[in-house]
This record gives sequence, structure tokens and C-alpha cells, in this order.
Amino acid sequence: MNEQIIEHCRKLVSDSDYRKTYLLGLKDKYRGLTGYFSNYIPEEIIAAAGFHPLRIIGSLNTSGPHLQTLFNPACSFVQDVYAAACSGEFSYLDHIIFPNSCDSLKLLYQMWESEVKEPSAYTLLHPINTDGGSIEYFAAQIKVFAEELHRNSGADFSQEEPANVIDKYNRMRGLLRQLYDIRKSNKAFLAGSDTIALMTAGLIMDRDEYHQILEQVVQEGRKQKPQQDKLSKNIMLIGPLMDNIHFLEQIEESGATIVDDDITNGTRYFDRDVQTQGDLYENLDRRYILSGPSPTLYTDPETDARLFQEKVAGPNPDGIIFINQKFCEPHVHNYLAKAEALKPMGIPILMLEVEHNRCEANERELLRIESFLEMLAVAEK
Amino acid sequence: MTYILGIDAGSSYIKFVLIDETGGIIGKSIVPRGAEIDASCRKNYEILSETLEIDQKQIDGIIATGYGRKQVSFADEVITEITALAIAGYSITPNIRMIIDIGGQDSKVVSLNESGKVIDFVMNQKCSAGTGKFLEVTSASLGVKVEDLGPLSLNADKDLSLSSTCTVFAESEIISFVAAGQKKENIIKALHNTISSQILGLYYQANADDQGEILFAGGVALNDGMVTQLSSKLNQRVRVPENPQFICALGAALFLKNKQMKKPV
Amino acid sequence: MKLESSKTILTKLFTEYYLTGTQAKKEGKPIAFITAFAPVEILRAMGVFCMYPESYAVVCAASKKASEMIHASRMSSFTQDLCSYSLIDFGTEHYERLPYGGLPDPDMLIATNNQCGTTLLWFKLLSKKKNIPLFIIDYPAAADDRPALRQYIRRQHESLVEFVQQQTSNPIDDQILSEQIANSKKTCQTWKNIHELNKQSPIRLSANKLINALFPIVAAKGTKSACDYYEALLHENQPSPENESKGATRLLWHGYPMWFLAKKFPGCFDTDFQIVLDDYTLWWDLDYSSGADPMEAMTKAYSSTYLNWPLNQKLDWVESLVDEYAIGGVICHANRSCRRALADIVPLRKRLSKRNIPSIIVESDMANPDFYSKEQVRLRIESFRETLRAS
Repeated sequence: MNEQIIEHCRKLVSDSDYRKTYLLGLKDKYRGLTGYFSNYIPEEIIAAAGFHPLRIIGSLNTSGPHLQTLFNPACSFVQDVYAAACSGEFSYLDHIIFPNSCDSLKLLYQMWESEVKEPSAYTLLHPINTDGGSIEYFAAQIKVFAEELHRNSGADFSQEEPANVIDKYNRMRGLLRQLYDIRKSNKAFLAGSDTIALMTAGLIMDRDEYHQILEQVVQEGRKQKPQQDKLSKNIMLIGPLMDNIHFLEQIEESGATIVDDDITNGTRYFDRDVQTQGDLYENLDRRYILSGPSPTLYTDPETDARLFQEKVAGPNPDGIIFINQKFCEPHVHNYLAKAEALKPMGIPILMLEVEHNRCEANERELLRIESFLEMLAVAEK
Repeated sequence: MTYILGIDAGSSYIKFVLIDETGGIIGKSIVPRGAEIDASCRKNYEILSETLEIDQKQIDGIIATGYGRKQVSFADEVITEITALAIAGYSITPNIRMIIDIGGQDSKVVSLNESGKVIDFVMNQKCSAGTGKFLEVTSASLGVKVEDLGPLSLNADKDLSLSSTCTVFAESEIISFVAAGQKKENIIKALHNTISSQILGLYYQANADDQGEILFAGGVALNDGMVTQLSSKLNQRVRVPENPQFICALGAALFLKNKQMKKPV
Repeated sequence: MKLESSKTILTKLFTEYYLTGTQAKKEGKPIAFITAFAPVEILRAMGVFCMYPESYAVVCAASKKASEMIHASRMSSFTQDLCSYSLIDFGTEHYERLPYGGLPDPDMLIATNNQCGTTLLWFKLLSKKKNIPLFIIDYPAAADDRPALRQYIRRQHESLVEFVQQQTSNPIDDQILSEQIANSKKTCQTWKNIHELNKQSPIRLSANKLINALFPIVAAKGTKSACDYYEALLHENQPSPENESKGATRLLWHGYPMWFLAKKFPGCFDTDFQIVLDDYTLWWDLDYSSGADPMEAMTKAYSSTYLNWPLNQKLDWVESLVDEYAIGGVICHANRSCRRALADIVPLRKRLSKRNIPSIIVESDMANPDFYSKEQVRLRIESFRETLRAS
């Protein structure tokens, strides 16, 4: 595996100065840089307007000055982002897009408007309902959103450009699926933490460069013969955004391999493509809103449970680690639903509540992880 | 004769338990943690072996558990407290289905199946409420020694309610109780009640099997007041083992003994 | 004809609400659990009896059971970090001494996001647990009213009608719907007028009394009884001659009250340091003014709830209250349970400070007394009082 590639990805995810320098280097290639939160924002629309879409991840910068913090019930990810924003970390962005999702992000949006101000923030009011004319409404919102972007860029908005971009993004998602498939038969090919670093870096990186990297990695993976399985426990990772690569590494060092995931910056990002035939908006709505399951959209709980069980049945892990951000309300509920769905499958689940802005797993968390792995080892005997 | 040493390097104290080939406890000691865990462990290991007049060559294995487990550089093996608790609990009686350990930094509830395997475990979340630390902090604000909490609470004659579950809040509430002239004994009982409620919360989450006994381990189990309160919350008399503070160290030693017995000679 | 006193009507409304719930269940009348800002008029016009779990959580908190019920919710593995209303509700399952013997099991659930996202998560879980159909209404938090947006909400209201019809086979009665809307509109107007009595000094109804008068507009808005109640309350509290008491500081309580306290606000206030208004009670003054069409009126009313407003609209509104009610100081309740309600506190204090209006933050919770530290709050409020005196 190309060490340089992985190092580049890790640094993009974990080192905010490196990330900033890299992104400033993209300013000439694109009309601007558009930051966004969550998996409900169609990146294709941003890219079609000539902007570079990049996911806002945490700063993980514990030593940095946390000028201001939000009140406690705001989730720790939002608190981290807010502190970073107050210290000017996102000054390289031209604008930032918020979703219509959880209350913590809604709180952040309003605090951004009032306290952070620059870069300017925009909320894409995508529907959360999958009924009652969601498609028409979504189309209208996307149009307003696109117009807003084009007002900024001065470019025309046509249906052709999004179609090309969708095609490109579909190919990228396809490559990510191939990478995960390769790891299914050869988990030693790439560590779980590196896989998630590679995956997450793609949310930030220039997509042309990313495409090349993915092609290279997948090609290499295909060539490599499956290696002897390590004696580690197979773990599936679940939860919201997990961008703390070092933490994941610590999990793996404790005797686990992350073989699959159901996290925002993992399979949930690439498991579905946007259809290219038919109406653009309807296709985007189907991809981003209607085909859940998601903790903050309304989808049928029975279907959610069934889809999740199917997702777990594939990799059939020894155990599941659910990592939640402290005070993330949607994922506390998500955890309860997932734990319930796992019961008939007999797969143990460990809930770890972490503070997003901390780099290291502390003793308490390591104790939980190691105990969980010991429990899995004993269960096997 | 060969021996195995179990070290439980906890957040407040380090506990040593030496067992023989039969699993019987030959000696034990407990010392405050100190700043240098490794050095402290080494020194007290020497003191223990000297006191017991045992040649260190007779010690067949050393195993560490507890917070500082990885810092004990001379240990042959490390395991977590969860596994250690389960093994020790099961060795006391196979009827144990649940172990409660109120530690300095955190409290743990471990549930076992009928063959002594861990089926689930829960630890308190980030707040120190419901831990030994909580008792320490609050007893300090009452001007009472931790070891006197138990006997004092048994003399309570009134039920006070400490509404808060946060250490900071509870401290200020205790101060206001003191200011209002409430008896120490009653305040302490309320304190025990609050911790027991926290533990009850963990108990519910740990997929408790109602069919077996509950073992109460850790130094806090020496506090009779806590034992009484916890038993009443759980609707069942919790079982306190002899030397509850050594249970983790014992479990670790037993783990290594079992492992060595399985080893091909 | 002698008019009934507001007190009589309130007692009747309260008892009827809980009795009717139980009665309706026995008679097989459909019952819905709905969130605080759900379009109740549609449901009533379709013969559905509506109950509010949030309002019930308030009753539990006011009857000092919240702490125990929240502890009981841990039996279902809930962390205490969630909204306390939802935790109280989750605790009902494991708690025996429920006020009014608990709520009857509903036949359907209606949740909206015009107040928060919590209610959606909460009702989603209830729906799964009890296997009860759930309908969700998305009210986008938009500053303008674009046609597409209005259309989207309208379509959802229409889908709600279809949903209820599927559940109950009851058609919608347009006559009842119009009456309900008219009553709601009137109720909101009277409620606002009652508050305005406090623009003068001394105030007519303490903020605590206004809190105690909130139940009908929350749980019976749209009914004739709620209209009558507020009419009677207004009638009983006619403005008295202005009597300016010297040195009195008029305070605004910004945000949720503390339901577990006997007076709903911390003590340490008196006549010269008085909460004249809690803006929370005015959150129920919805705007039913847009057009004669009931569907159109509801679209506007339910999408423009306080917690759904853009930040500037919130700040402008609170600032206008400060002016109209001659407020000298503001106490902001940072309610641990409500993320959405926390967004305006910091910017509001900045605005107030520009105008030299002192303010403080009190951190606690609306319903969970475990997050209320009496001593801390007292210290904070008393030092605030000293600041105000000095200025």
C-alpha cells in the first residue's frame, strides 16, 4: 500500500493546518470553496456550480484557543466546530451550507449567523419528510440553493453540468464500494483506521485527485493476494461522523480490526448512487432524502431495522462498536434502535460516548474497548 | 511451591494478591497509588515477598489489571478489571450473575452467564456522580472521614433527598443542608441513596438476570451504609465478599493461574 | 346570565381533558398523542381526541415526580442527556404512581419539528415501541414564505387528513375546522391582550399566574372552552389605574419556566424586583391571520412558531417586548433540555448590553430538578439584583 497516499489522507483529516494549506491551493482551480455538513447536502449541485464541496469535519485541535463555547447540550462535534470557527479556522471557505437536520446543527447555524458571520452561512431546507410532496419541494429548494451559488459564481445553471458531475460522483462512490469489497476478502490490505482516513479525506480532497488515488488503491488491492487473517476481532463501527483516526487506530491496536461500518463518513456516504435517467431533482431527492435510513429524517422504523440487519449480516462481525459524540441526541436514539435490531442476531454491541474535540482515547474508553474485546474472546471459546 | 501475583493498579490504591497453586490467597497488601505506578508496584512487590518470606523465583507469573495495568512493566500479562471481576466473582460462587464495583474513577456493573462468562458490562458515563470519588469529595465537604461514612449513616433518623446527581451540584446542596442544620448522619444517608440510584441505572442497562446473586466488590463495599442502601434499591441483599477491595487483583491472579494450567507442559 | 369564573372553567378544562381521554379510550374514540405545535384543529375536525405528552410531562414535574420518573427511564437505557420531557414520558412505563393514572394508549402519533427535532425522535421511538402509526410534519424554518414552501406544508396538512382518515375512517368536517380555527385565532388574541395588562405598573397577573393559565392554550386551543376561559380571565383582570411604584425593576424571564418549582421561577424576587413577563408563555400566540382559508391560516400559524424563527426575528421580538413592557433586566434560562432555545441567548445578551439592559444566564432545566442547583441560582440572581441596584 502506498504509504504516501495514506499519510496525505491522514493529514488532511487530522491536521487542520495541513488541510488549510491544501485547500487554499485549490482556490485557483475552482470558483470557490463550499463547506457543508451532513450527508443530506447534494455535493453534485455545489460541484456543478463550479465550487469545490468539502465536508466540515472537526478541528481536533485540543491545544488551540477555544475562544467561545456553546452551551453543553450542543453535541461535542458542534462545540468543536464552533470553537474552531470562532478562532477563524474556516476563513478559507467562501460559504458554508447547513442541513435541515439536528437541533445541534440548527443551534450552530444561528450562532454562526450571529457570532461567526464569515464565511456566510446558508441552510438548505431539504425536506425531512418522505411524504407530502417532498420531491417538488426538494426541487424548489435545490433551485433556490443553486441560484444562490450561481449568484456567487456568475455561472449559468444548466441541467447538463449536474448530469456530468453526478456521473463522476457515481464513479467515485463505485470505487469506494470496490475498496470496501476488497477489504472483505483481504482485511489485512488496509487497516480499518486507514480505510476511514482514506474515505474521509475524499470528502475534503480535490475530487479529480481523489479519483486517481482511489483507482490506484483499488488496482493495488486487486493485485494483492489475500493475506493470513490476523487473530483480531472483527468489528463493525456505527455512529455519526467519526473523523478521529487516531482513536480508531487505538481501537485496532487493542486487538480489533474494523472490517465494515455504518457511519456518516463511511458506507453511508457511498452506498447509494444518484440515478442518471429521468428528472434531476427527483433523482437527487431519492438519493439524498427518500432512501434513508437516517436518524434525523423520517423513515419507517421497521424498514430501518430490516435494512440495518441486512447490512450487518454481510460482514457478520464479532461485535459492534457504536461511537457517539457526547450530547448527540439523534444518535442516542439511533443507538437504541440499532441495539434492539441486533438482539435477535446475537451480536454484542458496545456504546462509547466520546468527546469529539479530544484526540486520544483515554483510559476509561480503552478499558471499555479492551473489556469488550476480552468479552468477545471469551464468548468464542 | 509456586505462586502467582495479581496486581490491581487502581486510580486511588494499588492492591496486591498472591495466590498459590490451589488458588488460595497467601498474602495481600494495599498501598496508595503514588505518582510512579511502576516504581510503586515494584517496591511493594518486594516488600510483600519479603514479608511473606517468599523467593521471587517462586513466583510463576505476574499479572496486572486496573487503570495503571499497562504501566506495570514487570507484569507478564494484563487484563481488564471487567474480566478480572468476572473470574473472581465466579470463583466465590457460580451463582453470581452480577458484579457491582464502585471504583475511584468509575463504577462498573458486569453481568455473567451461568458459566461465568461476561455477557455485558456497563460503566458510568463521564460524570463522577456514582463513583468513589463522589463519596470522597462530598465526605470532605462534610468534614467526615470516608471510613466513618458507613457507621454514621446507619444512625440516620430522617430521609433527606439530594436531588442532584452531579458532584458539583451535590456539594453545594450538602453545604446548604449543613447550613440548614441538618444532621450529618442524614446527609450521608442521602448521599448513599444518590449513589445507589446511579448504580441502579447501570444495573438496568447491564441486561441483568434476576436469577442469581449480586456481588458487591471494591473498597466502597466496606461501607455498611452503602451495602444497605444498594440492597434496598435492588430489592435483594447484595453479597459482600471477604476483602472486597482485593477482588480485582484476585480475579487477575486466578485468570493467569487458569491460563497456565491450560498451557502444554 | 352569570359568567363562569376563569378558575371554574380552568378546573373543568383540566379535569375534562384527563377524564375525556380515559373515557374516549373506553368508547373506542380515536386518541392521538400530538406535539405542542401540531395542527390540532384538523384532528378535532376529524373526531380525534388529542393529548399532549409534553403537557403531561409538565404535570409530572409540577407534582414533584419528574426526578423519580427520569430515574425510572434508565430502566430502558436512556441517558440523562436527553430532553427531560421525553425522559419523563419514557419513565412512565416503569413508574407506578402516575398523575391521573397515566395517559391512555393512543391510536396514532403526530409529531412536528416546528419546536425541535427531539419530538420527532421521541415519537419515532414511541411509534416503534408501541407499534402505533406516526405522522410527521416538517415545517421548514424559513424566513420568507415562498410559494413552494407554503405548498409543501399545505400538502403535508392534506396528507395528515388522509392519514387520519385511514386510521379512523372519519371524514373531515369543514364546519368544525373553520370554527376551530376561529376559536384558535380568538384565543391567541385574548391571550396576548391578557399579557398586555402587564405593560402597566403594578402588573395585573404575575408571570407565575400567566404560567398557570397556559394549559388551555396548549391543550385546548381551538375549543370554545379555551376561548371562554381567556375571555373570563381578561374580564376579571381589567386594567387598574397606573400606580408607578418607585424603584421597581421589571424583569423579563427569557425562556422556559422551571416546572418543578412551586412558583415556576426561582424565589428571591419581590415587588421591587419582579418578573413581569416570561416570553415563553407568548410562544403560544400563533399568527392565524393569513387569509380566510383554514388550511392557509394553519400553514402560516404552525410554520412561524418562535423556535422555528430565524435568529433576527427572535431577537427583534424579544427586544420589542423589552420596550413594550419597560423591562429593566433580563434573566435568560439556559434550559439543558432544549438545544433550539439556546441559540438566542448569547446574541440576545449582546443586543441588550448595547442598550445597557443588564442580563444574566441561569443554567438549569425545564423539568428535571436534578439539574437545578438552588444555591447556585440564588447566588446568581441575588448578585444580579445587586448589579441592578448599583446601576
